[in-house]
Amino acid sequence: MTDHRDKEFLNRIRTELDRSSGTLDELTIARLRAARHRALETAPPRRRWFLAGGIAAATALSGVIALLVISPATAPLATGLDQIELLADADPDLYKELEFYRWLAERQHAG
Amino acid sequence: MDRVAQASADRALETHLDSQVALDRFLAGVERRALRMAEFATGNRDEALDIVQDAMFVLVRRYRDRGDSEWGPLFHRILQTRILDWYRRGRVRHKWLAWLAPHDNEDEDPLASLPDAGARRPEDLLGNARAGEALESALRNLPLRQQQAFLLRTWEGLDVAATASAMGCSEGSVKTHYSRAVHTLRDLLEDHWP
Repeated sequence: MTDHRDKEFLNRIRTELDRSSGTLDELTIARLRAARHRALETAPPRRRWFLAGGIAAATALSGVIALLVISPATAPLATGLDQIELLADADPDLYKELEFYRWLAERQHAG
Repeated sequence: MDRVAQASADRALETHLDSQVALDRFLAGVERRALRMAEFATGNRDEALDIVQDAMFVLVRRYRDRGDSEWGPLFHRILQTRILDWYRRGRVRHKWLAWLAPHDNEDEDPLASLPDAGARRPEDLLGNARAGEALESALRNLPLRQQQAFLLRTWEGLDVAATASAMGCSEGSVKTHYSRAVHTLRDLLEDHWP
């Protein structure tokens, strides 16, 4: 087989392969898309993101500790009833996020 | 959260989202061909989808921070490794099944009777009127390494070095596998594409 015929032969194969991948059924295409989205959604954020979160958490924690140290000892503590009211007033989305973070932590722990 | 931490978090989030978009575009561009490659190797679409999804997960989890110029070779390396793993697991499973199965004729090779997931009979191939189906049958009948070398070189357009990297073998092996694949395909398809 000559080079020309070789090229022609391989081009025909390439064209046929392109056609076969371009005519996949809708269900398969949807499954591929779903797989791609799952892969992208479950990817952990970058380390810098964790670093920024860590800095923010440390700052917030130091603020809380400072408030506890500075505040007078006679300041009334929240009662059990107060805590229930606080929980009732909180944004429901917060709990969704908490669930997500717990799930993420479990995955990382398992992985 | 203080301003510095907030700004840092915002930048990280922005970069993260940019990376998500770029990765999504890359994977969308390669996923169909990846599926077909895995399907040629396994002969099963569900298995192929699992392999492609697994390769996507690994690429995103481990290599998302790499530049998009590196994603192609890395993805093909992961995909081909997953295909090879699938193939090896199948061989081990077949050996155990053959060993455990009762043998009526001890002289007969038990492995010879095991079905090949992707293979079709030559008469089916010859009787196949459609060139596309003939090509698919011919590709599925190629030995795995020949199939990988051929598809990566011819379809993905990888050069010998990139193909060797994706397959985890030497460039010499790639040339051998590719040459044998082309020769076999010519023989099998000459009736359809003279």
